[in-house]
Order: sequence, then structure tokens, then C-alpha cells
Amino acid sequence: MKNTKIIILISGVLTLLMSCGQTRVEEDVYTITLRDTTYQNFVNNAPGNRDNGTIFPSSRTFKNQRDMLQYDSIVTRKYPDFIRYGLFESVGLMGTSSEHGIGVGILGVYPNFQNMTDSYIGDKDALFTGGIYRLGFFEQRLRWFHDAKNWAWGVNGLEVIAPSALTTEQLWGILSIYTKKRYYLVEDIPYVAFTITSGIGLYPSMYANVSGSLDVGSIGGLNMRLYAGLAGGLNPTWSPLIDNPGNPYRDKSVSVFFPYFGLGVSVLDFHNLVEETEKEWNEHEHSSWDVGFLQFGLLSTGADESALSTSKDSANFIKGFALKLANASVAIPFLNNKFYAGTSLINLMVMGQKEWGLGILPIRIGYFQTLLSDELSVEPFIEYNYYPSNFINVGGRVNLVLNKLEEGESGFINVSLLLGYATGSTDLGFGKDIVDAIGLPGSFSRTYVGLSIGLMDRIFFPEQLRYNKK
Amino acid sequence: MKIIMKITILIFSSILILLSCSPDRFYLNQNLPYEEEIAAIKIGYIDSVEKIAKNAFALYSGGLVDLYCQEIPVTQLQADFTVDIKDGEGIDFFFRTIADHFDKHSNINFQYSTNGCKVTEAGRLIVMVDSIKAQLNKPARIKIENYGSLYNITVDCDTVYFGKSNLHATQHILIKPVNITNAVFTGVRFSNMNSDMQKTEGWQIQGFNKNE
Repeated sequence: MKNTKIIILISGVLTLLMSCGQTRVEEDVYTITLRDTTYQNFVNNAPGNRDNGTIFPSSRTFKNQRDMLQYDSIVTRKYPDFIRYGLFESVGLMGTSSEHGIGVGILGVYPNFQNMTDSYIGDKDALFTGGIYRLGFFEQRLRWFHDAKNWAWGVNGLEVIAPSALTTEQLWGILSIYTKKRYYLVEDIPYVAFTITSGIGLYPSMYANVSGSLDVGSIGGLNMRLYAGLAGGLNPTWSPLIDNPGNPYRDKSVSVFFPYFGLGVSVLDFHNLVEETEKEWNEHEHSSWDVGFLQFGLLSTGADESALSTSKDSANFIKGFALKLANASVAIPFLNNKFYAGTSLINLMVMGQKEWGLGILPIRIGYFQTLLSDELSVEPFIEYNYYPSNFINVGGRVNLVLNKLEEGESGFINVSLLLGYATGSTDLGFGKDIVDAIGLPGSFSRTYVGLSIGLMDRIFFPEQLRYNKK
Repeated sequence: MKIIMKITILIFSSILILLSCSPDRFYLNQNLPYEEEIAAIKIGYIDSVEKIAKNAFALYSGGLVDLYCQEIPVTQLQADFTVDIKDGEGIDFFFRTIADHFDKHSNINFQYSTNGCKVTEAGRLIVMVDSIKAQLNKPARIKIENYGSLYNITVDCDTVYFGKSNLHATQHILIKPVNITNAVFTGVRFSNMNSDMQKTEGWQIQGFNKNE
């Protein structure tokens, strides 16, 4: 397992590196030539009388000077330089294992947390027996076959194709490469396309993967995909998936070959048509009020014990924290377009030492009201977290955009004032490892106030929404 | 196992190399001393322009290619082509414009065709010259000079037009066949007309050099 953690770490670094290439910059230089002619008259009359004859020279002199000034005016344009660019994708697979089903639920993001231990080898009753996970992917146009339409090639930072819970049977690939052909059924946002993908991975597993999928998205970086495919490959003896202390059969390579079928979701996964890569960033259409990587806030909740301190000092003002990872608040084109439906990949609310809840892809409905153009907004919302914890969070955020970046840049930072009320329970089972680390789960019902910072978290304003553009 | 590994690495590397190419662009006069390197972007479909030598390319009907000096933006330039029209009518040269939204920007258009030569500026006819005509399979040397407000177009030893323009000078020369025309461009060369003043340490104007 240590090896797999290193692999994930390496992949994370590679993913960050890949994020550098998302914008193409073009510059045009215009040389402006200015020409100027100056005529100067000088009359240098000497003081006193002059003894002039009938014809006398004038003291007036002329100076005629021509100047040319050239300077460059440089126009810079920025375009998206990708067909697809994203952070995380997961797929819940069915029928890939009869004995060691991994049990990750539909979409592959609802695991049974009681099973999250190093010794887990699967469940034969699991419905979703496998999963596909991709972390950091980048896709560009592939111009081959006489520039045939909608071909793309891409790289996954990390790809894990897991037919079962057994690590030795899983296919892991760092920087796995794939080609894609899309057949668009709908070319308006959110796009609908039938996609054929073939890819290979070399390390730590050697494998090939062919799939067909029906893709819907992206909108606010959210995508849904229905997959059917075939994967096969080998985990050689030198692979860290085989050559690790937890495997009693370290001298045997393992080969796998399996068909799969499943439904997947991806977050912070942005998709462009080829035509959109020729469209400047500032002309791109936006469908969301907020899309971001991370929101983290410290909360004051009035809980008995703080989750951030081991001492039982009740005077500690900060009792917990709220963390939202991979957020999307997609505008609903209804009334004034200010209502939104949102979600986060992970939503963790810790109100105190034994009062916390975890939500995966919660459902959030809210309303975005701008208070100060392109800077300040208020956002009341209600959020239902159904798995693994069951709680409702009603609150409001006042968001202040700290830095105003250009389109195509991703370092957006904002701060938010939080005020709300969360009630519910952590009633679905968590494994011992998690409970030991975070504390015994229980019911909670707390009002909270806090301050949150959003990193790589972009808040949009009414004029930026495509529904508000005529 | 080693063979499988080697084959896989070979396939993997080949794919990486293949995918790293940009089929929509090529470069002329690359790594040649005393020559400006010219970047060429195929704006039409990618098979309509083809690099055939270090300083030559072929342009087929339906193509549109944008040529410019990429390393140092050169706007005060002399563009030199030897054009051999293989079949069709002629060639359109566009300058003092840019490739982005090409059809929406004003330009100077020099048309070199079998019917004669024509120069238009922002759609306005500047001059028509019937005495200078393109001939099929007979190469002609075309020079376009851009300097300040002035521009000069010559075909072989004949001047088509020498005059002034209010359009700003840009680094781009765009070339497009007239209707169904196939042509070969050889001896392609862009010269910086300010190269005598542009030094590595910045601009130096005669009489104002810091050492003087």
C-alpha cells in the first residue's frame, strides 16, 4: 500500500504540471508609423537700425524638419488549448468480479466506508464490483486521417481500472495515453456525444483499454458518462502492485482481462469543441455561478469540544471546520437565472469533536445575489447530504472576490463569511480507522458562523452568464 | 517478458513523438544562419499546404497559409518568393493584416494572376496592371516590401505598385490561391529591413549609438 501512495503522490505532481498547458497565447504586433513635419520661421532682427539698400537680404530663416516615429502595438489573445481538461473522474462498474467486488456504489464514489481498510479483499454480494478512477487528465485535438473531425488524444495523470478489490488485479497507469473519437449528438452546452476511446498504460501495470461511452457535459465542470468497455493487461512481478510486502505471491505476475459496464461522473472536468479552441477565453460561455477546487472555512459552533484541539478548553472559539472539494453551482435558467443547483465532490462539516458529517455529491440549491459588481455577492442555500452522513445544511455565504484574474487563469481566490445551521447524523457506518482518526460520529444540530477561503474557486457575476447574454 | 516490455516502450515512445507534432504548422529557413526563421500556419485544411523543402512549400486550392517571423516579430520586412503557378488562375497575397478573424480585418491584397496584377487596400482598388501577368509553369520572383507607411510590390524587375498605406504594418503575409490554383513557392525569404538598426542589445540609431 505504501507503493500505491507513492504512485498517487507522483500522479498528483504530474497533474499539477499538466495544468500549466491550458492556455494558448497568441500575439500580433502592429507597427504604427507616425510622420511629422515641422516648419519653423526664425527672424533674428538685430537691435537698432539697419542700413538696407533697395534689395536686401531678409533676416528670416526657415527650418523644415521631418520626423518619423515608429512604435509597436502588441495585441495578446488567449485561447483554451485543450479539448478536455479535468481533475477527477470515477466510474462504478458492474459485473467485473464475482468474488471480490469492491463495492463502490453507483458512479464509483459511494464506497462502504466500513470496508476502507488495508486488509479488505472485496465482497461477493457487491453490486458495483469495480471502478475506474482518473486523476488529472488533459486532452488535445488530434489531427490525423486527413484532419478527420473530433479526434483527440489525451493523457491521464493517474488511471486506475479496478475490476475487483484485489490490488493485484487492478490496472494502474501513470501518464496513460489514449485516443478518442467523438460523435456529437448535441453540440450545445451541455454537449452530448458518443465516444470511442482506446488507451494504453505502461507503468505500474501494462494494459490496454477500449471503451464506448455516452457522455453528457460538461456544465460547470460536471459530466456524466455511461460506459461499456474491455480492459486487459498485466501486472508484472516488478510492478509495485505485485512486489509489495502485503502480497504473499510476489513472484507471480497477474494478468487480467474483463469487460465492464458502468456509470460515471467527473468533476472539474471541462470540455471544448474544436471550434471553441479558436475562440478567445473572454468570449467563452459560462453556465455557473461558482466553480472551484477548494473552499475551506473555520467554524465557531458552540460545540463542547473543539475538533481542532485535543484540550477540552471550552473557551476555544474555533470548534470545527468546513471543507468543500470540487464545487460547482450551476445556474438554473429560470426566472432571473439566479437560482442554482450545486454539488461538491466532498463536503465535510466538522462542528466539534464528535459532531461531524461527510457528504459525497450533496445536492445544493441556492440563490446568488450580487451586492457589488464583480466583487461582492451573497448566497443563501440549502444543502442535503445523503451519503455517507445524513444531514441538512441551511446557510448563507457572503463572498468577496480577492483577486480579479483574466479568463483562462485559475488562481482565483475569494473569502466568504459563513452563517448557517446544520442538523443530522453520521448514521451510516464508518470504519474503525476513520473513527479513530476523526472521532466517534453521532448526531449534531448546530448553528455556525465562520470564515472561509476559496482557492482556485471562481465566482461568476450576472454579465458573465451565458443566459444573460443576448 | 523483456521483449514485451521493449515493444511496449517502443509503441509508447512512438505515440508520444507522433502526438507531439503540430500538423497545422511548419517552419521555413530553420537553423539557417543569416536567415529569419519563418513560421507557417495552415489556416485552411491541413493537407492544402505542404512543406517541400527547407525554404519552399506548395499551396493547393482551398488552402490559406499565414507566414510570419516567430522568434522576433518583424513588421518592417521584405518578403521574397519565387512563385511557380502550376495550374489555375493566380495567387492572392495579403499583408498589413493578421490571421485571427482574417476575413474581418482590413488588408492590402496583391493579386498575381494570369489576367494581370491587382492591388486593393481595405477592399478599395488601388491599381490594376495588365502588363504584368502570371504564366503557368513560369516562375516569377515576387517581392513585397513593408516599411513604415510605404509598401512596394515587384514582380521580377517590374514594379506593380509603390505607395503609402494608412494600415499598420504587421508581421504576417497570408497567401491564398485564386479559385482552383496550385502553386509552388521556392526561395522563400523574409528580411528584416530594420536589421541594420536592431542589435541584440536593443535598438541603435545611427548618430545616437552609446559608444559614440
